[in-house]
Amino acid sequence: MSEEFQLGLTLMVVGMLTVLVILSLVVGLGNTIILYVNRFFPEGEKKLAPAASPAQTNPKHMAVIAAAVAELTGGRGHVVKIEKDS
Amino acid sequence: MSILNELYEMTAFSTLFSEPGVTIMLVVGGILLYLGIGKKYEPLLLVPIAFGVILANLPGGGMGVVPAEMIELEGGRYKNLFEIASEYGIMNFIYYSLIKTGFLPPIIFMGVGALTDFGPMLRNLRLAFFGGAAQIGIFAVLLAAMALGFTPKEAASLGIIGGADGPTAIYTTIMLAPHLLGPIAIAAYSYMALVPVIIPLVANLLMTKKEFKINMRQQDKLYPPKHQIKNLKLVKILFPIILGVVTAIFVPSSVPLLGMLLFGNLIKELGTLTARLADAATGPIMNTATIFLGLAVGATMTHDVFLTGQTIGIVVGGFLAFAISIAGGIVAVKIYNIFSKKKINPLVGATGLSAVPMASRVANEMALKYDSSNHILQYCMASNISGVIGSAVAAGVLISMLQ
Repeated sequence: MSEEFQLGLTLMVVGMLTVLVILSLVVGLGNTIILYVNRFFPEGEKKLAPAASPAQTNPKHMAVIAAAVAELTGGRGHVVKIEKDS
Repeated sequence: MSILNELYEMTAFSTLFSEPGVTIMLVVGGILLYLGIGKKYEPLLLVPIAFGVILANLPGGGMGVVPAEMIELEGGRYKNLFEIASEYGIMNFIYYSLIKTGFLPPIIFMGVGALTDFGPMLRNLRLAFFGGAAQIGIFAVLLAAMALGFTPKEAASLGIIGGADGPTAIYTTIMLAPHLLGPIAIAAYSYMALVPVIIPLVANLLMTKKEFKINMRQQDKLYPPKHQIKNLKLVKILFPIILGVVTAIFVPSSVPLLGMLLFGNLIKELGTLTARLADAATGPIMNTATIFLGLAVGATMTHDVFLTGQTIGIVVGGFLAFAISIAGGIVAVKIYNIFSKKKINPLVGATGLSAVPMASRVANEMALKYDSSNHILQYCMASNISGVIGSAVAAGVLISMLQ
């Protein structure tokens, strides 16, 4: 067996083992983080306040937004709901 | 008559006729442009690369990248960037400052990270192993290339095409065999564009009808996962930080790629806190980096460098690396299925090579052909994303052992 072929085989064994070790770490770390978070910080994101319906939006603001959307989309778009991005 | 002769010598016609290689490269550039524009094969990369090829081969334009020996000085030192720009033009300035330093691929990886959602992988963590099995093509082709006479560094750069990850292939080649950068980048991106052809080809060869029909959701109902994630947002924030640090300790040479990938992912997951950074990483920075990377990689393909036997070897070897990687993932799932009650559709293994998210989309479409209720996209994304990590780690190993 030539030296170069031996080097190739070494690269293959070391490379594949390292990839598998790192992916095992990915799996292990992922599971550990999930268990830790589930135990100590189980609450999900706070539920967002229900979106304001167009009726609750200031009519002047509504008209300006609708006009801007109509201008940008060439009259094809329309406003379905308006939400405040926190 | 002498005036006409002088005019002929002054224009590019004399070079075009005296050096047929130039014309051939202009045709190659034209074909790549057609593939990018007409066939829509990875146009964001192929169009700049193709135009870079054309620019580099226009006689007298001075846009071709010169070999590293021409900028070397005595004592292992190099000319400074001002000297490079004034002697060899702006393309060499771009190449030697942004590409040869290995700057742009990690910058692009940062953008890729900011576009990546680790959610599917975190929900199906055990599928991450198949992203490892699909790296076998890298090392199999490395061995074959060495047997065919490529040096170990060249063979490693050729094999890394099997990782199906453009920035990783370019980064590894810059570090190990920069003279092969052009053909390797072209092969990597061309085969990534051909994923919709290559995955079905290999999958149809290796999989049975019964395997195509394995319904992942039904399997999940039969054998539900042990635990649900109660706070996915926090898990997604902690994951890139902890994984980045741990990986850096094990494979330091993969840090430029993986570190930037995970940083990009973190600024995405932090939401509105760092939304402007994520927007910059995925928009202006990534787009600018892609333009310079594409043009400079194309400009390395001058006729004297590209038109060699090695280029053909790279094109053939790159395809084999891709096909073997896909086969590796499929076979790994088949072996897993022998020992496990909960079966996995082997198409999930086929997506273990990177090429995110195209590989997953192709596998999902194949599964839907056999069972219209079998949506496997989320499962494929798990192994697909772990494939990105796997190929970056493989690149790190090759660089650290061969550089």
